[in-house]
Formats: sequence, C-alpha cells, structure tokens
Amino acid sequence: MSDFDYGKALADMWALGGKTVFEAQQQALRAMRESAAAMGLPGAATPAVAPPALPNLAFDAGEVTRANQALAALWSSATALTGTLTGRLPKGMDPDSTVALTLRHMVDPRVWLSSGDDMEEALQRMAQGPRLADLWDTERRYAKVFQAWMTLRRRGLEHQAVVLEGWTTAARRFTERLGELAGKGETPASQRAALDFWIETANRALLEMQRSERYLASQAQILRASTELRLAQQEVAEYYGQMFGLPTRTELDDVHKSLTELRRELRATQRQLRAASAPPPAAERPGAEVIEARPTRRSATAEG
Amino acid sequence: MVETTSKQVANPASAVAEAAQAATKALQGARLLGKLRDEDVQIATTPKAEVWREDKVTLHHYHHTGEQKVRTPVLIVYGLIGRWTMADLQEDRSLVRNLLGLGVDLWVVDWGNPSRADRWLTLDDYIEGYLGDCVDEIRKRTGSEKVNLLGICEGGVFTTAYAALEPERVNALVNTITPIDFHADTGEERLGYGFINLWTRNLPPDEIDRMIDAHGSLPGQFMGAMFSMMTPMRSLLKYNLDMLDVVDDEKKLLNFLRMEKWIADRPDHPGEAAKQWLKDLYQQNKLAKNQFELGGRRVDLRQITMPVLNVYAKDDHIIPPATSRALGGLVGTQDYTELALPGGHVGVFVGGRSQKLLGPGIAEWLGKHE
Repeated sequence: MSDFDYGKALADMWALGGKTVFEAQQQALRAMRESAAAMGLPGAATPAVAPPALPNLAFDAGEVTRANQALAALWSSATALTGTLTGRLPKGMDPDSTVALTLRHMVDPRVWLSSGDDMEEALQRMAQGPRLADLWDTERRYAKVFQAWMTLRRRGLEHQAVVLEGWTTAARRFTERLGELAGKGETPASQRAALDFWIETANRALLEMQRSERYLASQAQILRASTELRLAQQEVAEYYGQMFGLPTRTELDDVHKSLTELRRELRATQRQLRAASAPPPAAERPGAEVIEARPTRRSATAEG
Repeated sequence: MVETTSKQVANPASAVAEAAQAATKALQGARLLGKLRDEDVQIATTPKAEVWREDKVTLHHYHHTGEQKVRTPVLIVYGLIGRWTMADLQEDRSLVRNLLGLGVDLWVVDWGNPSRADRWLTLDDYIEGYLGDCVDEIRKRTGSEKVNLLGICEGGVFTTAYAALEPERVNALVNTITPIDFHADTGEERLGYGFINLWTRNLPPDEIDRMIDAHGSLPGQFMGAMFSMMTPMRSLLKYNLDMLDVVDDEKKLLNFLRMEKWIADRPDHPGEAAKQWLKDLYQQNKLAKNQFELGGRRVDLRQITMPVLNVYAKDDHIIPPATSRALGGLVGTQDYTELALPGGHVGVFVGGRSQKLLGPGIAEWLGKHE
C-alpha cells in the first residue's frame, strides 16, 4: 500500500469509526429511552428528547469527527512531503537493506504519530480499568464513561495533529538542508550519514515542538481526559461493588489510609521509645582520625 | 554536521557494502539474541545482606572486600522514581563496587514496590520515617554516632531534607544529580533540558491531585514515558538503530540489555508523596525557598552545617546542572564542594568514562571528611 493509500485508508477508518460510534450511541440512547418507556418509568415516555441528566454525546461525536478531518488534512500534506523527501535521499544501494529501510521508516509520518504512543499508551493503560458494559443497569454511569472515552479519543487526535505538524517542520528543514548541500554539489556520504543528519534535524524540531504552548496544552488536555475516563470507570465499578456487596475502591482506600496512619504513629512511638531507652552511640572508635573542618568552598571538575 | 561527499564521487559499491555489513550484523545479532536468556542479564549482583525491614522498605549492608578506609558508614539513598540498582548495574560499571574497592562501608535502602495500598505515604514518611529509621539502625549496628548520606536524584532531596532536619546524625552529605532549585531550569537555554520542570509547571495543581487520586500513585510507566519524550529520536531509534549498533557484540549487547532491565524496573510513586514531589517541589519550589515542611517541621537548608559534596552531570537533561548547583548558595556549611562530571543523568553512573571519576571522587572526598 502506498503512503497516500495508507493515509487515506487511515483517515477513512477514523472518520468511519467516529461515524459508527456516533450511530451506535444514538441507537443505544434510543433503545434506552424505549426500554424505560416500556417499563413505565416516570419521565421516560418522551423518546424525542434525551433525559436531561445524560451527557450530550452527539456534540462530542461531532468534535471527534472535526478532529479527524483536521488530522486527515495534515496527514495528506505530510505524506506528500514524505514522497519528496524520500526522493532526495542518497541513491545507489539495495532498497531493502536494513539501513535503507530504517531511513525510510524514519521519514515516514506514521512513525511520528506513533512516537506519542509511549505517552498515550501509558495514559490509555492507566485509564482502562475494568471493562463494564451492562448498559441497562448503569445508564448514566456508562454514558459518562462513554463520553469520557470520546473526549479522550478527540484529545488524542488533536494531539496527533500537533505532533504531525512537528514532523512536517522537521521534514521541511531536512529537505532544505539537503537542498543546500545539493547546491554546493554535495550529498550525504552514506545512507547512515543521511540518517544521522535526519536524526539531528528531527530531534531538534521535535524538542522545539515539545516546548510549544500548543503541545503542552494538548498534552495537559489528554491527561485531563484520561483522568476523567478513569474516574468515570471507577464510578461504574463502585456501583457494581455496592450492588454485589464487594469492597469498593473507596472503602479500600479508607482502610489503607487508616493503616498508613497507624503505622506512622507506631513508627513515631517506637522512635520515642528508642530515644528514651538507649543512650546515643559512642562516638569513639579505635583508630579513628579526627580532621578539622576546613572552612573553604571549593569547586572541582572531573575534566581537570 | 553532516558528513558529505561530492556527488561526482558517490560510490554505489560502498553503499552496497554498507548494506551488506548491516545485514550481517543483524543476522549475527539475531543468533546472539536467540541464545541469551533472562538469567544471562543480571544487574545489582554485588553481594550484600538484608539487615532490616519495615513495611516494604529494606536496608542492606554490602560485604566488605578489603581494608576499610572510610569508617563512617555510607548510606546510598535512591528516590522513588526508578531504583538504586543503577548504582550497581554491572561489574565493570558499578559505583557500589568502586566504592567498596576503595574501602567504603556501604549500605543501601530499597523502597520496595509501592502499590495502591501505599497511596497515603508521604515524603514525611519516607524521609523522617523510613530513612530516619535506616540511619538509626546503621548507627546502632556500627556504633557510629553519625552516618554519611549519598543521595541520588530524588533520593538526594531525601538526604538533603534529612540532613537539614537531623544535622547531628549526618557526618557528611554527598548528593548526586539532585534537583534543589526546581525553577533554575529557566535560566538554562539548552534545548531539551528541564522538560519535566516545564511540563509539570504547566499543569494546574488541582489536576495533579485529581490524576493521582484517580490512580492512587504516579505510575512508573508514566514517568518512563516522560523520560522517553525527553530524548524523542533516541527513544524512537533505540530498538532498531541503537540496537543494531551493538547487536553482534555480546558484551555490548549485554550492557544494552542490562540497561533495559533497569529501565523496566520502574516502581509506582506513592500518591501523596507524588503530590508533594510535583506540587511542593516542582511547582512551588519550596525546598529552595526553605518553605518545604515535613511532619510539621520546616526544612531549612541553612541547617546543613556538615560538609557537602555535590556531584552533577554537565549534560544532564533531566536534572539540569543549575537546578543541582543551587545547593551551594543555600546550605549553612562553608565546606561545600562541587564535582562536575561529563555525561548525562544516567551516564554519570553507568558510563565507561565515569567509572574512574565518580567512585574515586566520592571516596577521596569522604576520606578527607572522616
């Protein structure tokens, strides 16, 4: 699959995914209302209007779609740039060699997008606690989880767009510098030299991007969204725990807090007892040498 | 600066040779990796004995290997982000072995693996509680009135705070790669330095609380991801290009894998202690302002009247040198020495060049302050 096809397929997948999720959610809400109406619950017989306490999921689905579109546009320009970049790299070696593959891999925007994966995966793993999906017993809680998940996805897409911009900047600088070399009749001495050149250029661009307000803001938003998802999941788990008579996170936290405080008090008491019962250890040691403190401030360097 | 050649002399044959060389390395590496087992990749192997335990915290005493030249016991104190095993990564790259070889009586505290059950532990518990108890245990066992403290990174903050609160129990303070003024990074103009400082300051304090309340800790994998972000290209290339460079050399490959083993061992940071670390120190910089409080007592750095050796790495992007060096202007002692070492945050401990500098530098300084 070419970069262009891959990019298009990925963008389509995201857009389709957002649409499918949105539709599924609409169906779920409709079914919930109909189910509540069938059971004759008060205030549930107006299917055209969602219960006021439920989050506005339609709004969030639209935001995810917009984030998808913004990323797709950036993706399109980034993949086009990659084509230009690849064409400028040194020729004359087996295109399947490890170094060549690595080099091609490194100028591929997909790698840049996934470079945030460490952080995002860490956040996702942190956020994804127990998967509870009993929609019919926990409507509001579950909807809150779903909304939090949608927000996290949206923030993730927005963050990826920021990262992709960083990659585009790096790639532009790289092509410009290669162009400057070409203007002087030079080219990187080897594939490895070209790769090192790319690493240096890209590293700088990425570090600059990381210190930008946009990057920091979008990182903070992902963190916030991840926290909210986790808390929403915990709320569902607490609900189940109470329903089935299981100890909840809150109860365990309470126990642990009491235990920590008791241990703290015990340590303090033991320390007081030690201090009261034992004299300080003898300072004298056979053969110990006494050196007078020298009132000087010095600075040493290992480079010497 | 890019290594270039004239277009006219670009040589396809050398490119083919380069590719063949890389392919051969990869093949040899694959064979080598195929025969290595986890037990071949051991870290922290210097013999020691557990001498004390409280909750999840353990105190260990290293076996003496020769004449004891520094009699005052030295306690190694790492922080809660990562583990002390970095100081004993492998036989030929080990601060522990180097210090033992130079006649130092060496002890180390291990904080264990805090879980969600430990979310309420505070820095007060770790510093005045566990660390204080370790110091008392060493004093009791050795008969020494005082101990030397050797703090590493966050552990250096622990030793600094303890030395300020209990100066009569500390003979000398050695800090390595330790942040003291958490805002001093703003004075460094080096790109990529102090990203954690910037990132943390960017977060609203109540969101830090909410995040830690949600998880019960500052997850170790979260901090790992932060460190990866600080060297973005290096992190991306680690498992292809960097590994390719060493994969056909068993010694180098094992070094690489030992480092990976240490990185993978990243315990979760207890929640309440993490709030103090991120908000009181990274955000509000209370330690440098003498406003940091532990157990209701204010940590006044001017109370540090014992000799101080402050070791920092000149290319430390995690703890920028200025954040460490600030200690010199804040302590109460006149006997303050700095040791500037080449390399980065971890390289100071595990780098080949550092082996002849860090251990001997510390042992020599301690020897003069018996």
